[in-house]
Amino acid sequence: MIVIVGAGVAGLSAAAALRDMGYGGRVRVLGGEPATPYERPALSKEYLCDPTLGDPPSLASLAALHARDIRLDLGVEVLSIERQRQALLTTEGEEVGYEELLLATGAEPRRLALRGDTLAGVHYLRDLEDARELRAALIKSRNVVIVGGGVIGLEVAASAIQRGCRVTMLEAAPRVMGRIVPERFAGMLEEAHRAHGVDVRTNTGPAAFRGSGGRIREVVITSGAAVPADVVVVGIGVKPRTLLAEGSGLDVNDGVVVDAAFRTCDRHIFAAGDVARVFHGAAGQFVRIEQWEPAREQGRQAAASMLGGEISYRETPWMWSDQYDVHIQATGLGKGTVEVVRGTSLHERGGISYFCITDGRLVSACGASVGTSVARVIRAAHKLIERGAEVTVNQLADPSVDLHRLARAAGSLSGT
Amino acid sequence: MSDVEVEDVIGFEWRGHSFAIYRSPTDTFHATDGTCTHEHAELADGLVMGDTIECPKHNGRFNYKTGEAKRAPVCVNLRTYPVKIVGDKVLVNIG
Repeated sequence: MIVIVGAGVAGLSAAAALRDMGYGGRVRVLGGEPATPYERPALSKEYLCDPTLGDPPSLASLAALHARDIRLDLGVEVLSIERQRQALLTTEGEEVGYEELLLATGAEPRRLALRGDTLAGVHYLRDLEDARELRAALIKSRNVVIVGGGVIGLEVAASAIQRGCRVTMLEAAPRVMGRIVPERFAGMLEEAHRAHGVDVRTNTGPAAFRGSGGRIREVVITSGAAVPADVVVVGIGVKPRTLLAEGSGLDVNDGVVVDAAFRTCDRHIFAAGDVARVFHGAAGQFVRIEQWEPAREQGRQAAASMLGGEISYRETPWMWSDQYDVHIQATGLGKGTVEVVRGTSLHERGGISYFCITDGRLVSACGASVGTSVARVIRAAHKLIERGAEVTVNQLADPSVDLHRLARAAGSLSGT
Repeated sequence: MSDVEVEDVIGFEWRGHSFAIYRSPTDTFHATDGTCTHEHAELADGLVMGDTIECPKHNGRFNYKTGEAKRAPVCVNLRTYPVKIVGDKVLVNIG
């Protein structure tokens, strides 16, 4: 029997992949949340924007799982891994034996250690329950303060603006999203948010939450000024859910450490998705990625590895975000040594993209456009990175050069 | 025919409905609905690889010749339409 802990995208794509690859043994998925597994990306975007929208799309219908003989148990907390006996203990007292075990427990929001963070109206966003509460709290004319200008903070800011709220964003760094994208790209995004009415304040953060009657009323920022707040959303990153792995003596270092085949130091235990710190063959280093598409891919590859396949993870990460009518994509690892910009406006076909090059090869790219036309650029960049294609600054900077064609040519050279 | 490159896609609209026309690596032409069955992104912004069209938004994939959904998050097949080449024009039968 193969047991998967975690019913998010990594866990369920692993379960599906086991069956796709012809595994005929028992497959059991243990999910911590009570809700039928669902797609998380919508929670900070369309789900928040539109209070009439139903639950987010499901990741896998119960009928489909049943048809593939994948047993799914929801609302199950795993207490410990008994590695000697190859069994899990649940809080219900059940013992679940495994031949191979996949940890896909995901990540959870980092908490602010701040006075007043238990006041009603202070929200974190990770699961459907969080999203339901936040969606109900976002009522027109409310003052919303977002703590953290990362992807989640920016998406929630856009959603709150679209709900008619007044939004203030507090970011500790000089730029939003500054840690993961080129500075100029971050600046452009920041301007887009300002243009939509977000009061973006950088180099600052909350010093205290003040309330009355148990509810948040204002956020005191580090300068001492007070910002009125009916709703606070804290989006300051996530931490991997490694408690189970730590408790059973597995190697943990900001994530469950696994090799390029997703195997922990215990040869019967694997990890994939947000919780895994995996050795990336192409980057030559361990990476922990917090994105939907890599989680899906890692789940599939971990499944192949559990079935004895020779796996060496080297996929180029790729992610998207939607903020207002702006579609954003990013791909690759690392910041490179040369930066190239393509395009001049979010409104033109292809939008604006930034590329990072090292030694004549693309290492990462990000871009944004009104509508989805930037996708052609960034998906092509993704392929150029995967294929290790040589590119010139001029090719990348010239919007009339079709990167898709370049990627195709590189593919036929490398035979992929 | 010359409006679409080999192994590429273009979109067009007719009476408010969007369509996509594909030119395969072996120089055959195909047509499908123009938007993804998942969240209605314009497939003409996507990339064609072999027999596959990638949705630009979430990287879901379809076989554009059969319409078959090939990769999550898409799970609903794409509608396809017969095409005919007349002279240098691609005619789509949207029946």
